[in-house]
Amino acid sequence: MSIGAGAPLEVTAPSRETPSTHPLDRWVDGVRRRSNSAFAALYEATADDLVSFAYGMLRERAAAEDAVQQAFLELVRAAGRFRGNGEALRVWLFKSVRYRCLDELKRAGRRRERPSHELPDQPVAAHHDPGLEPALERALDALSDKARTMIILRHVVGMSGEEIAAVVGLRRPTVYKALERAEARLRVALEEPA
Amino acid sequence: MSSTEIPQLAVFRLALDADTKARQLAVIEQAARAVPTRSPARRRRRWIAAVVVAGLLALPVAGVAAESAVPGDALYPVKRALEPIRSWLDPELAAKHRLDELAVLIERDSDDATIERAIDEASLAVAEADVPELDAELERLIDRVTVRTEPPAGSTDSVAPIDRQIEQEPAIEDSQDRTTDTSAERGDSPSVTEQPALDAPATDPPSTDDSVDADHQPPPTRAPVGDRPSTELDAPALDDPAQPRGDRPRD
Repeated sequence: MSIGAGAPLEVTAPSRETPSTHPLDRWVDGVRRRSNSAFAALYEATADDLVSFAYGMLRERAAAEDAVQQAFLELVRAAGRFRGNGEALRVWLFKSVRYRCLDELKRAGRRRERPSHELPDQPVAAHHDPGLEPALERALDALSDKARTMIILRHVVGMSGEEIAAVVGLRRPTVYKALERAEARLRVALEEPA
Repeated sequence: MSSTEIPQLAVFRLALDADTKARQLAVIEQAARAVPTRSPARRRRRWIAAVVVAGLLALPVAGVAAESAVPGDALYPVKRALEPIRSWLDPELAAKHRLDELAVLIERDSDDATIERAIDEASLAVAEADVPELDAELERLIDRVTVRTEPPAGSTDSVAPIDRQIEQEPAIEDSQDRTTDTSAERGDSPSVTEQPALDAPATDPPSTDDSVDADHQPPPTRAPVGDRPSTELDAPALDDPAQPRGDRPRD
């Protein structure tokens, strides 16, 4: 994860008595004070991971970018109430993006149902990116929302099981077992002929 | 586990270009400047209090009405929303609900995708609850899903679907009992034919039934039970991180 070490900071640097344990810790105070430079540094450090996660969930780049921006705008509004360290801040952002993606998927589902009630159940993807392989989309559609979230966080963002557990609100052992099952199903689906 | 295990997913890895970043940052910074520094006043607190009171009054009604909802029902979101509150009294409530829903969906013969998602949800909830009885119940339900699979085309002329086979078994045995034990059991015959459990071994049909042949059973199209994550949680539990207030974004 790139942190943007050269970014100008006006926030308090981590003191020597309480060494930082997470790369984002140094910007937490600035975020609480709604410092633009802290938001800029936080955005630089997390935007690529967040947009990759959102793209995996929504499969449409513009919608993914919008989800990330909306999450940051939500953070701007809630920043004064935020309590936690850098790790909690990162988890907060991923949770926010996740909720926005799920809302977008629901909206897309409703839009799809509106023209005709005779349409069969369609894949849960909000949009269709023509660059994506249909087999991959079908395989992801077959997963539940939580399973898909965990797969994307693990295999696209590269999150640890502990971070994933915090984002999806499950215990770590549960995440490992659910991931194992989802990965197996995904592999089988990817190997199936169209 | 590494990110290279499912290489097809690498297509989702994006890197925002400088223009996009600059555009988004400008919007974020503008929003940060526009946020009022003082917290909202009493009027907002009164609104929150009114909403909370109204919600508390509506909770029992909505809870009762949503109790039997399953995925796809209008009241299902209400049921899910109330679950965390009711779980204070019954920690296994979510797992029980997911199992009940899965059973209903199987009874309704819902489509495969819906049932697969229900199995996913039930597996997670049962793993969270960590109760062996619930795990066994989940396995029974998954077995029911597996055995209800229709045989492949062309094989239906000689082989009945497994669920029908299971239903036929007690009838055969019952009729045999009646023919052989009529004199002994007359007047005291069981008035109700007990249905066998659906997870009874379908590969051991009675030899008297010519239409049932375990070797011709259609292969299940669903993942076997063994693929489902076990509920034996041997690793240490993760403490929940500090949840930021205003966690759930509002539109």
